[in-house]
Amino acid sequence: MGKTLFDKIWDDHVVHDHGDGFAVVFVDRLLMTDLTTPQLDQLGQRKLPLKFPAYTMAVSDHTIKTLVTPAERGRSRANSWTDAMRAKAREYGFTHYDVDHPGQGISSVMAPELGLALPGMTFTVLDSHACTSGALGAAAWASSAGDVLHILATQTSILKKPPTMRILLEGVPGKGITPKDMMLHLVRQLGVGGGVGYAVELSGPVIRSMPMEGRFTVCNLTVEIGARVAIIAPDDITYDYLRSCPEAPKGAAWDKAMAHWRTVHSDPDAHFDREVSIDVSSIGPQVSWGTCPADVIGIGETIPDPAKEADAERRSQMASALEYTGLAAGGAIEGTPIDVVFIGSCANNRISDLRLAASIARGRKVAPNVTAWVVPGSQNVKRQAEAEGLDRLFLDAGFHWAEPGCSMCGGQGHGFTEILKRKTRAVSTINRNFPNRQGPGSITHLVSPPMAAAAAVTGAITDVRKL
Amino acid sequence: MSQQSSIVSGIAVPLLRDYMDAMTVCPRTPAEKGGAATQGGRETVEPEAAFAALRFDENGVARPDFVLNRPEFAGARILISRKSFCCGSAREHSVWALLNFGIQCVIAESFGPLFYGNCFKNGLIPIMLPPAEIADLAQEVGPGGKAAMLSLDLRACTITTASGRTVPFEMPAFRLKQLVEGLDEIDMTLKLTDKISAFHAAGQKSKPWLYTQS
Repeated sequence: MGKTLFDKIWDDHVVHDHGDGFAVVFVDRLLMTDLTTPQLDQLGQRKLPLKFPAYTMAVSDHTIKTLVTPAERGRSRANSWTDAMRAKAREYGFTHYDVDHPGQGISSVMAPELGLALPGMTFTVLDSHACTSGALGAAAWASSAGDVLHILATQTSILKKPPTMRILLEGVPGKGITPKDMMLHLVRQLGVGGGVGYAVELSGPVIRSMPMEGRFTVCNLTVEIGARVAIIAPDDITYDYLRSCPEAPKGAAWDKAMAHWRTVHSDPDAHFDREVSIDVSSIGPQVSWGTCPADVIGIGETIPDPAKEADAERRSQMASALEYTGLAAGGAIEGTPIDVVFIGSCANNRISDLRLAASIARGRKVAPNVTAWVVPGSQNVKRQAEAEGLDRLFLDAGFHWAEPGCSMCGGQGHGFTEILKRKTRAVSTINRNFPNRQGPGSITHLVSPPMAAAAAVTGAITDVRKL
Repeated sequence: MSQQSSIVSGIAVPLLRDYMDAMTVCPRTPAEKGGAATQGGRETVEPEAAFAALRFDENGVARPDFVLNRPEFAGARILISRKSFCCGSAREHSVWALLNFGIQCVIAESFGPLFYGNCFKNGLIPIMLPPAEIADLAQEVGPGGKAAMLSLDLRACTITTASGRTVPFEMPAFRLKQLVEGLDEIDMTLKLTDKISAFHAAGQKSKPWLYTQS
């Protein structure tokens, strides 16, 4: 029987079999963030050397200041977390993409962009959206703090081999339907527990014709069904993308790498433990109404009524979600007034996302009672956007133009102070709408970048197709 | 990690919810918010951090109706929960908060994978049981149940209730050995250094573009 893409990478990296499905797996690259210095402290306390500095990297993304004035760019965004990592990088001799590094960005944006993650590789970050890099054909997963210490000391992780699942995205998406809409629809269909613990391969005609940046959004959102790994087989779209990545192999090394990458795909007769197909033909722009990424409807649908839900447990979840978000069951979600728009996060702040949002913002103004932020995913995204004049376009429309980082997505930006106020209603391009996600008591509606821009200029949740 | 006994006996408290996420099990601690220099390890997590938002109201007053605050469950050593216990965040703080609160074992239908791995790094015992067994155990120890005591035997892989009923559980052999002998995971893997070096040396030949460390 054939092997899945994930099986091949797994088998290729097992150093030792512990039995019962557990193995010691070689970790090709570890990317740390500004929240990872305690693990380096523990390494020092245990008097252990860093096993492979060349395979170890760090980036400053979580705690740094992003909502800045022009005078506050560069080193002034540093803080005690980034300074501690800077010192560790010097001590141990690994690369640190610090606030003033031209490659700095959110880990899951800058890692693929620079070619730090590659097809067939094992790649990990102490960040729950690490599987974003799986869009390049890497086995990428989130490590815990304890895992990171183990990797620093041994370059391996003790993992239980996850079961495999294939999700086929099929159909022909309607005009203006983005990968974010497809994935919000998918999470709604499968539920937040729909893929718990699986290594999920995403495939099918919609994926095969999707540009690389959309694939990152797809793999990013796959973690919201509980997946351990999200992976897409590399193809010509992947290779074209990697050719311009500065840290990807060049010359003869590229040719040798390509010969291996061509083998990194599932065999035709590979067995998956679970197979699902999702048709994205008939979906409209999606928006979340509740407090988990499965609480999603199409913009034209009415807000679901818990009273009509048969399952008692789901019924009570729905009722408490509506209580938190302050929406009325059975009503329209379109037209709900909003306070804040946040265009950012590793789900959606690559250049194609910003271009889509800009196409809606062009020639319009942010509504009077709305504060709108655009936070590019990386310094590279920011430079490209500024070269195209998108920063001016957003600023002229009344958006704030920020510095790259996680910012208000997880409420950790600028030392946990870049957060939304209680009862603030935000329309965000992020990946999670859990209670308190963007600040205690704040409400988040998940949407695509053009939907976010549409909400900014109208002051309400809006069907972008009507603009 | 300290030497672990293979027997854990104590009061078991049922917290029967699905998808109890890591931020609920342990919200961000003052040390985490205080900057890298103070983030530290297990010692920075107060016992009060465990389920803080559920146990205490906005003024820090204990909510008397919350199960962990009820007098019959004071001093609980075993926690019973349901699906995907401690899912989400990769932080190790949830494990530390539970241990510092006094919990030595969590019995659930399933666990968040990162939490599950973190348990073994810290000596917290995670046991998976089918939904029906969870419901039965919760019934026995829960409010109005016979008695909240459970006894866990790691060597025999059994849980015994106060009424003498014995429930078997399964755990991978190397994980059991790790818990019973109190083995440190990094020390275990460092014994495999030759294998790791051999893997890397072979990789430098077959994938020189990837294994670049000299």
